[in-house]
Amino acid sequence: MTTPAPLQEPLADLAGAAPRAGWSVRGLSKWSTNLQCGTAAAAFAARVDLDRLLVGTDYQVEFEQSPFMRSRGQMVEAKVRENGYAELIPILRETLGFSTTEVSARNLKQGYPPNDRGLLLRATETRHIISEILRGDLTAPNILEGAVLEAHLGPYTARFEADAIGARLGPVLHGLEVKSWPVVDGRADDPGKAAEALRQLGFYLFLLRLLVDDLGTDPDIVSSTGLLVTPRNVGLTPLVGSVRDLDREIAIAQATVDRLPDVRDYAHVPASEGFGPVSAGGGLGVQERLDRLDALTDTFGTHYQTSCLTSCGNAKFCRAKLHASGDPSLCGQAIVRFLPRVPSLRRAADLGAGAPPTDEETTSGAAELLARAGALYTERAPESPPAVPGVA
Amino acid sequence: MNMLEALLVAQAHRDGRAQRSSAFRHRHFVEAPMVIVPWHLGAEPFTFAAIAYGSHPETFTLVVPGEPRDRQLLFPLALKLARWFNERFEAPWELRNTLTRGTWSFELAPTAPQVWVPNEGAVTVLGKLGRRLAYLPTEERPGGPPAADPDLVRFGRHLMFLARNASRAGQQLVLAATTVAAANWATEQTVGERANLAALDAWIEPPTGVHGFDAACAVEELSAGPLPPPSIERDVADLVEAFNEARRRGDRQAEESVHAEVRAIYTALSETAWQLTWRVMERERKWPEEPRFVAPRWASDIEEYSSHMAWMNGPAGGRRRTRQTVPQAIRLRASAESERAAVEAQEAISDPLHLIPLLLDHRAVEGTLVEYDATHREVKRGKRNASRVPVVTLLTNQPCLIPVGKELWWTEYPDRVRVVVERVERDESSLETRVVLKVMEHLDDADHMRLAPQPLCFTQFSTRVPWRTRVSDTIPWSHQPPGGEYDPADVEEVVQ
Repeated sequence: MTTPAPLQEPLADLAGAAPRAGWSVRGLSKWSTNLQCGTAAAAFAARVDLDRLLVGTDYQVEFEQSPFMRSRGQMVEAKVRENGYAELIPILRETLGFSTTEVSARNLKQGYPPNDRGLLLRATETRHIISEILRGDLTAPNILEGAVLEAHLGPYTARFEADAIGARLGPVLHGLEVKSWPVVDGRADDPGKAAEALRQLGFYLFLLRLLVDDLGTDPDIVSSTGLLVTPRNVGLTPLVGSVRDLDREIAIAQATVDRLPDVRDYAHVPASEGFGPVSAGGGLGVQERLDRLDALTDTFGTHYQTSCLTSCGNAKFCRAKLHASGDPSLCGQAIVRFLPRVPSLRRAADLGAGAPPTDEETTSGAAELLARAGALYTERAPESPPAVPGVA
Repeated sequence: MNMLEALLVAQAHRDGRAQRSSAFRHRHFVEAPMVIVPWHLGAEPFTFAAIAYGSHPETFTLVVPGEPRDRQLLFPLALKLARWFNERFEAPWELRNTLTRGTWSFELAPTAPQVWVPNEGAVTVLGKLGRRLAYLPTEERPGGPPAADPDLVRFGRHLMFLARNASRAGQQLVLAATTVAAANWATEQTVGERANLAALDAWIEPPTGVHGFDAACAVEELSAGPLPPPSIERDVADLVEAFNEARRRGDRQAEESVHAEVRAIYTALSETAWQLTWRVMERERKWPEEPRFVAPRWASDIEEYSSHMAWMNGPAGGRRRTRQTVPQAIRLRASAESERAAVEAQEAISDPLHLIPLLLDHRAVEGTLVEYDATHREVKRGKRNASRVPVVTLLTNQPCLIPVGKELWWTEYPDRVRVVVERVERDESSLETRVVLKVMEHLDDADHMRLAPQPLCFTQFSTRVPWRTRVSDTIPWSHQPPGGEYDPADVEEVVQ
C-alpha cells in the first residue's frame, strides 16, 4: 500500500473490528448512489462493509448475489476465455474494429494474492502494460483482464478492479465488460442491470484516462465507447457485443471520483466512536451496538433515500430512526416537498385534523392546505367494509 | 404524490395503519380468476424454478422442475401448466358471438379471463417465459431442438399477450395484487417498499395493537416472488446441485428425495404468496366497483381479448412481433399516452377522494348551482352572429384560484360539456366564492345542470379521445434498422 504511515492507525481506528470490503468499481458505483450520506462516506473511506456491519441485529440486511447468478457469471467468463478468447476476438473485430489476427491476452485475476498486496502488484502491472501499449509495443497484451486502476482518497490510493481493457492499434483503449445476463430480441434482459454495467464501464474508462494522463499521454486515446459482452438468448453462448457510448457515464464517474471522501477528515475519530464497537466483532451487546451506531450516525450524518433499501446495509436502521422521529423523508423526497416547514409526520396529521399552525407552518402554506385536505377527507372518507382474516 | 397523499401518509404514521385513498375499487374483478405465482432462479429469468397456479383460495397446484435450466425437465411441467391455463384462458372464446356493424363483422367473447399475480415482477417473469415458449419450433428440423408441443407454444403466446397488455393503463386482464392494493391505500412506505406484498398487506391490516410500521418490518423478509429471499435461494442452490449430482450418478432415489426437498421449499414460499394474493383480492372485492367507467373498460378488455383470440386462431397463429417497427412504436406510444390520460381522468372524476387533490390544486371547482342563465347569448370569437352561451354561477366555500379563461369539463359529461371560467369573486366576509362559468359545447347536455344532484363539479380532466395524427407506414431512411426488419425466433439457440 502507498498509504502514508501517520494515517494508517486512524483509518484502522475508524474501522476497528468492523467487517471490511475492498475498494471495487462496483462498490464505488454503489456508494455513488447516495453521495449525501456522511456515514456511507466514512464507511467507504475506512473500507467498512456496511452490508455486514449490523449482522446479529434486527436491522441486518441480506444483499447477497444470487448463487445462480454467480455461477452463471463464472461460466460466461470461462466461455469468454475459452480457446484463447475465440468467441471474443470476432466480436472485437466486428464492433470495435480490432484488426489483429493474433490476440495477446493477459489475465491479471490469476497469479496474484487476493489481498491489498495483490492489488498493488496488479496495479503496477497494469500501469506497466498500459505504458507498453502507449509506446506502441506490438508484443504488449491487447486484452487485459482484471486490470487494477487507481484513484486518490486524499493522501490514500484506492485501487479498483476493472473487468477488461481492450487495446487496438492506434493505440486506442476501450473498456470491456462481460455480463452473464442475456440479450434477447436485441434488448438487455433487465434494463437496470444494463444501466449498472454501463455505469461501471464509465468508471473504468475514467480511471483509465487518469492513468493514461499520468503516463504523459493524451487521455483522449481512451475511447468513450465501451463494449458489453453478454450471451445472446437463454444459453451461455453465443456471445454478442453491444457498443455503447459512455460520455455521460464518464462524466458521472468524474463527478463521483472528484467527491471521493478524504480520509484525513476522519483521522480524529477515536476507535471507541468508530465502526468497530457497532460490529459484531466489537464485543458489545446488541442494544449497545445500536446505541453506538445511533451516536455514530449523529456524528457523520445520514441521508436516507429510496435507493438505500436496495443498496445499504444500514438502511433498516436509518429507516427505524426516521420512523421514530416521524421524519417525512422516510417516504421519499416527494413528500418532503409537500410538507415545507412541517417538522414531522405526526405534526402534519395534527394540522390535517385542524390543530392551530405555527407562524412558520402558516407562512409556508402547508398548514392551510393540510387543514383543507383533512376537512375534505373527513367529509368524504368511505366507511370500511369488514376486515379479511389474517395470513397464518 | 399530492397533498392528500402526504396527509394520508401522515395519518398512517399517526394511526399505525394504512389509510384508504379511494372510495371505490377501480378495477373489475371476475368471480373465478386464475392465480399464478411464479418463482425463478436469480440468473435465469426465461425459465421457472416453480409455479403455483389455481383458481381457489384454499388450494393450488405446484410444478417444480428440479433443474429449471434443463428443458427436458422444464417443458413437461410447463406443458401441464399450459394445458390447465389454455383451457381456462380460452373458455370465454368458445362462447363467442359474431357481431355485425354495417359491412364489418367480428367475433366477440361474452367475457374475458382474468389472471392475478402477486406483483408486477411476476408479470415480467411470465412475459419472459412466454417469449421463450412462443417461438419454439413445433416440428422437427435437422440439427434443431426437439419439437415442442403446440399447447406450449400457444401458452407462450397467451403469456406474451398478457404481459404486453399489462402495460395498458387501466387494463383488467392481468392484475398484480401489489398494484391493486397500493392504488387504494396510503402507507408510510416508499414505492419500493410498497412492491413487497407482505409488507404492504401488514400496513393495511396490521395485527391488533401493532403499529403498521412494526408489522411490515416483521414480515418484509417474506417473499411473494419471483425471487425467494437470499437465504432460501442459497438452500435451493445447494439442493439443485445435489439434484444434478444424483442425476449424473443415476441415483433415482436420491434424485426424488432432493426434488421433494426443493418442492417443500417452494410449497412453503407459494403458500404465503398465495394467501397474500387472495387476501388482497378478497379485501378489495368488498369495496364497491366504480360504477361509471370500470364496466366500459372491462368491455374494452373483452375486445382486446377477443382480438387476441381471433389472431391466435388466424393464419398467423398468434405469432406477434417482439420489436415494433418505428411507425408501430409511435402509434403504440401515442395510444398508451392517451389511454393513460383517459384512465387518470376517469379515476379522478369518478371518485370523491381522488377529486380532493384537484380541488386543493385549483384544477377543479365544486359548488352549488345558484343560477343557470340558459338564455344568455353572445358573439363568440370568430363568429358574426350571437349564439346561446348559458352562464352557470356556482357558490363554493373553498377558495378558487383557477384563472379566468381556463377550460373545464363538467364531471357528469366529461367528454362533452366544456365550460370556460368567466369570473371568480371571493367574498371575504362570508368566505364564499362565486365562480361564473360559460358553457361552450353541448348546451343541451349542460341544461341538465339545473336538475343534477348538487354540488356540481368541473375539472380540467376530459375523457374525450384526443385527435391523433396519422403515422405513415413508410419508415424514413434515418430510422431504418441496419439489419432490416427484426424477425423473432426461438431463443434456445443451438450452437453447432
